[in-house]
Amino acid sequence: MELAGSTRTRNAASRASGQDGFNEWVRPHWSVMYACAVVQSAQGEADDVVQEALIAAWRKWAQFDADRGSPRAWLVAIVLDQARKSHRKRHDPAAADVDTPASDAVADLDLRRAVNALPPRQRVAVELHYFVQLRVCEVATLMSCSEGTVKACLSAARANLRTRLGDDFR
Amino acid sequence: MSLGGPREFANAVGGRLPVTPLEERLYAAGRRLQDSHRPASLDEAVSRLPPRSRRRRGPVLSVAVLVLLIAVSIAGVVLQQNGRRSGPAEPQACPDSYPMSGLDTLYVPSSPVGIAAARTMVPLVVPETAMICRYAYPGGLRPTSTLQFTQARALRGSLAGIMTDLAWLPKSIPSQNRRCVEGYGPADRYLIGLNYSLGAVWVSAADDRSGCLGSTNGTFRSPANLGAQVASSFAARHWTEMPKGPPPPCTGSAYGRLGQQDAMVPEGAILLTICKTDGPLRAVAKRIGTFDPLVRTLNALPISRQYPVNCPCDQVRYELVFSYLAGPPVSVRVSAGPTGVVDNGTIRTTSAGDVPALLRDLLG
Repeated sequence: MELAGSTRTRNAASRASGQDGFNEWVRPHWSVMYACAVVQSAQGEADDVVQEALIAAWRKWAQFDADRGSPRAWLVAIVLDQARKSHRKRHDPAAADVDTPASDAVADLDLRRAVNALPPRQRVAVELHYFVQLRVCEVATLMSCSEGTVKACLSAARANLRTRLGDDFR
Repeated sequence: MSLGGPREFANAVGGRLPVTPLEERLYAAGRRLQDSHRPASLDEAVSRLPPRSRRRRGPVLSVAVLVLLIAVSIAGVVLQQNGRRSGPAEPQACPDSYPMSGLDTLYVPSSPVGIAAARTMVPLVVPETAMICRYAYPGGLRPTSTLQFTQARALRGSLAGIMTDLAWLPKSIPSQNRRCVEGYGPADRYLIGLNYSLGAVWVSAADDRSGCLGSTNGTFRSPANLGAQVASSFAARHWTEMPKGPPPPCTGSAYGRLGQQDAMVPEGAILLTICKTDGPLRAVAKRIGTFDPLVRTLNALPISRQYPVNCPCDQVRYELVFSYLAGPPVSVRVSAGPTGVVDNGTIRTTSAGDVPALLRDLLG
């Protein structure tokens, strides 16, 4: 379905040159972009990161090529790039999620600190797949690697997390 | 945007059941993280977009193109001069340094010459001697720094394995740009020096764990990331061969096979294993010995040489593992949805054509 959707959206993009067209083009992917910004940015920076990403996407929109990837992968890649450019410290789980129930918050805190301590590629794979809920093949596109590599990354990450977190997480 | 529970999510994304307790917690943590951050309004964000730049770029582009052309011309002359001066080097000793032009640099002291050098990573001949040179990449070093030689190891034992593993490496196609969105980090570099009676070949590899950096002999470039294998061979002082033996039924070679850049299924396959992935459940593999019509159909499909591409995320997929008398197998993935595509890790088709129907027939 991605291919057909991509072609449609690219045609739509070429027809609609204004902000309305761009708005509609981005809309299906907005929540994923935002989730990615939340996961990849410093605490409280997600709004800025996603806004900067949106501006970058708006400026580069004419360069989007559906043959080279889906709109979703293209937009998420821009968010990842903006999050990295922000040059700020990463999301500190301890300061976040005041709405999360206390028992879950403690468990999430341990889990996300352990995720933050993973090697970079494993961390990115875990965050994009489990937290942002991208498909393995979408993560593969974003990381420019094969699905097998992503699965291997996720497997290694899970082994690492089990080691760090103990038997409760087996 | 949450897709519900982890099992529903696993189903939706083609994952595997059962989901482990750790995965349950990861999914749940992700959902809570998203729930606690309500997305900003897209309409509001779009309203803050700046007007499109109307700056004229013609003259700037013209100057950039001119500079690029001059640079390419100079580089071409320099490369030709170097090629005439140096020729194939004898890897009796490791180079003292490893110049880096960026985090994705793969350097070789000299490139092999001749047509064959562009067709395979190394000749299909057992080398007389082999050595591995290590260039450690300390953290904090600038990406354009020069790495200093760290240590050399001569490889002991049979060298037939290194010949087989390297000679069958698939070739990169020009669009196979494996630059990573994120994750390039300090990665140790290795030079494999192979001596033959008629000359020598250097193969450059990086232990970057990301799998993004391939390997090269300076002329032939492969997407295969040899880092882990070279690092373990360096430590063991003998070539650690690629995992062999009966592979998992639905898994092809870790690197792919030479020739898959030109044909979806290179000539000479003797056995086909078909695996069907329907949602999260993987059907039992079926081994088939007669499959010529399928190969003909696969190799006749129109090919796109763009890679990576849109993922074939359709729910019904087939994985075809073609095995050969010699060399590694080829793994071909077939997406059977309405926008189905076929890919072997290097090339992909623009449609799946009649392949899904043929596979259904073969599976009975």
